Amino acid sequence: MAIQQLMQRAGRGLLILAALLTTTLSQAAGLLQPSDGSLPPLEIRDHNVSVVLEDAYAVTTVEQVFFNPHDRDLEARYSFPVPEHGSVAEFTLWIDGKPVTGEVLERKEARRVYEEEKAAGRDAGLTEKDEYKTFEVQVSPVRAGQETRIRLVYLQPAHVDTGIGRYVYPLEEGGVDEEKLAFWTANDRVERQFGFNMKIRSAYPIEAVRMPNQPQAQLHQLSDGDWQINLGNSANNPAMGEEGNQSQAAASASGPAFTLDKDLVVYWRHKAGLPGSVDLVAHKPEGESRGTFMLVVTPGDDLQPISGGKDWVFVLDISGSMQGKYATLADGVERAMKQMRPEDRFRIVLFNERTRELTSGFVNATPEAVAEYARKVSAVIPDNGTNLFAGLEEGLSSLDADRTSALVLVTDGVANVGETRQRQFIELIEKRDIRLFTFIMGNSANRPLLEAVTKASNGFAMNISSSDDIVGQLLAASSKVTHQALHGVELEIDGVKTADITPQQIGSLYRGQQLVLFGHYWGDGMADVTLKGLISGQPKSYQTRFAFPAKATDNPEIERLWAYATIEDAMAEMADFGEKADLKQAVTDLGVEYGLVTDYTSMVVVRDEIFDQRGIKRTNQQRLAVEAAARQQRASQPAPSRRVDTQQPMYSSPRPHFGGGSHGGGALDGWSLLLLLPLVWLSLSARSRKVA
Amino acid sequence: MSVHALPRVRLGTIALPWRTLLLTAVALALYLGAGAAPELWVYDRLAISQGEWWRLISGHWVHSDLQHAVWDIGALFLLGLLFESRLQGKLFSVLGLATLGIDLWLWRVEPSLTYYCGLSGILNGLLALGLMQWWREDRHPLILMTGLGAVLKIAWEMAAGEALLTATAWSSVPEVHAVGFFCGLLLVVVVSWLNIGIIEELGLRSDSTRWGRAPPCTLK
Repeated sequence: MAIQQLMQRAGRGLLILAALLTTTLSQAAGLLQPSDGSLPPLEIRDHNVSVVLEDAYAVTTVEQVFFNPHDRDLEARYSFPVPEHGSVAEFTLWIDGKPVTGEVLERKEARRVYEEEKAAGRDAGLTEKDEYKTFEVQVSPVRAGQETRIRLVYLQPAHVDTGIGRYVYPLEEGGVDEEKLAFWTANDRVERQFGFNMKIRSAYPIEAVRMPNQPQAQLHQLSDGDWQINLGNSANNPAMGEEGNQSQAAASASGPAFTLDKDLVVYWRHKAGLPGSVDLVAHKPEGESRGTFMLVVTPGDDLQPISGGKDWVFVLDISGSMQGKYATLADGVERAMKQMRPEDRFRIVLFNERTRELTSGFVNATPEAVAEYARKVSAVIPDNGTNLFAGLEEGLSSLDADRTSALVLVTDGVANVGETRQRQFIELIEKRDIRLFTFIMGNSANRPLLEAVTKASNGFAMNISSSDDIVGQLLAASSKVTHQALHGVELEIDGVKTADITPQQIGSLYRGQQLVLFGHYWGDGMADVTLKGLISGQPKSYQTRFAFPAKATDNPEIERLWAYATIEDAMAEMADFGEKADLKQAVTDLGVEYGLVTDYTSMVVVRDEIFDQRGIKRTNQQRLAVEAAARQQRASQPAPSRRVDTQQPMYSSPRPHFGGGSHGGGALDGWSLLLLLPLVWLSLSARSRKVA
Repeated sequence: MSVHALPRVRLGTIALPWRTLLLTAVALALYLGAGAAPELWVYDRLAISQGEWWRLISGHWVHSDLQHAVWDIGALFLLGLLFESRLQGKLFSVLGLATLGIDLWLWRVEPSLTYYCGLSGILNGLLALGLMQWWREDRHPLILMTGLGAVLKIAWEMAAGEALLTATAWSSVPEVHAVGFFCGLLLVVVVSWLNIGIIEELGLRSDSTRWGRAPPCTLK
């Protein structure tokens, strides 16, 4: 019930926030055009998104139609934010009415091929990755007065936290790349047809699905674990029907069908009381000695609440790039501060190019102090650059060694002033015994840097979109902060040979968090799996035993998910210790072999005959065919259970869960007391009669 | 002070509802002393499984926030004032039985409910028993209507999955109201059926009434 109240308040807050956001410069996914108007703009006619989420990963397919209303051929340049732990795995361009899928080449080589084809006037397309910020798609030519159709597909693991799953279709750009913003303007209007259609297929029952800020979204439960979500006026939206066609016509007459300026966020909530579990998704074609696996451990709820007062240091980014997000930040910080207990203390440090402390040392977390400093935080106007290092340094100063301390960092994470090297950040945080809890705002944050620094402190990082349910995210975070965590986590697999496990270092597991591991295995058969770590300094281990399959062909995508997770590990190492030739080569090789767009590889599409002429192998085309066949096969069957620890459960307690009863309180209310009023009257009147 | 007892005091008779006052004082002291949802006292499934059995009892006497405490402790006080003089020792008995019943239900039927606190479940047992006792003494339609109202309210809460008006920090569990109410009725039925002397010796028999139809209360 309190959550409902919070939701209502959050709803009001989000309305205010929405109003604030509309007054800021729109920064979104879209077709880029030079800001100086030197080239005429193209149109996005259609934008249709299809997401299938099953077996702990999501496959997102985006089909678009660009239109050139001008009398000369033009190049289309489409940009969109990098999805969380997601990589483009397919880029298809329709040439002469036929889809032609791209192949991944080393980045410079791919660019050279694209430029040559473009110069020759032949159809070509290119998808590149701009570090952690955006994927850039170029298509040439979009012929005068004609349409060009493209399809992008990306894969990403899908996490569930404290019983709540979250998927973000990222559209809102962070506005952190000032050079790019100065040069390009994004046309984010979809003129004709927009659709967002998502299927969630889970062997675990799903109680509810939400799409915050999208009241027109149609949510349908198909079975216990299957849901369908439809939004927009696309023909793919079965909920639209005739009405959809009418609104489609209306859309072109009255304005855009959709604007690609806000993230689309989908939450799904699993049924309460599900057991802690271990799920295994494997891929091992017949005859292959090596298989690939994805292991998802969902711990049971056996982490105890932490008692005693804590010191909280809020380090808040007030740089110019935070302008569109600052209202969200201030709102979130206020709510977080209200969660503190009277025995807690807090400090607030603000940073942009300069650093200043809003408090004067630690302040007791009384309701009055919280209200006062919440007001002060919301009154700040963000501007200037970001000296994240100085902000962290100030936050880490003046800690009281006798008290447990935690540092809450809220930033869009682009360190562009002062010290910006990741290693220096890690060394700074490792000097102190403090946990870092990082809230990453927006899609263009330097997520790799922030996640690496946070991991070094044994803390946790959470991504926050402006479209998120901020209260829900805060509840998830506060539940982690107020409970013990399993630190120094290690997973051992005995009985089956495994290698290439990623992440190489797991770090900590906080309450509600899942552990997702990828790796290779050889052979098959039973394996003893042990998860161990330290809870409050005491060793703790969990065991189970299950079989790795001899053959598994349902989920070929696992190979690419493993490859991308390995690439992310390598990129993190390079960000930490500098670019190394062998690691760079490893990333390039993995990108090319598994058809993934990375910092060092790009996907290029040319005409079929040009692929042949240039001797470019169609390995990605073959891989896509295998994946498409497997997806089709899966779609025809109910979502199978991937749980492997049923015989010997790893956990004895159920998973932690929000709502639906993980915390329960008997509560009488006004109705109960109203019910008793007749009895009071009866008792009094009986008394009066007796006295008379 | 009991509504029933008011004239007694006015007439100079000392008949304070001491059980109600004592229990209310305990609940108040726990909230004021231990605060909202005290970690050591709430029903915590994992802690109970590790031997902290007292939570099975204390969990019912602590509250998740101020609003939760005000409603529940207020209701305890009012129900005690209305029913104590009719129930006497059975007041403790019904609270004990409802505690047992709700704990059993939480443990066996709701394994996913890891934490619980609040008085309202056991108070519904007190309400059921008090209404039945009163009905036996005075077949006034208002008593029947109140009982029906209580049943309808519980049914509505269970259908809606939430309490009607409250918005407490921990989500409400309407099923415990039903379990508590059932425990109150169970005590009536079991004792009526058994109606053996040992039960009365154990304090389940009130001084002024028996489980059968009793004469209306009279002033001393």
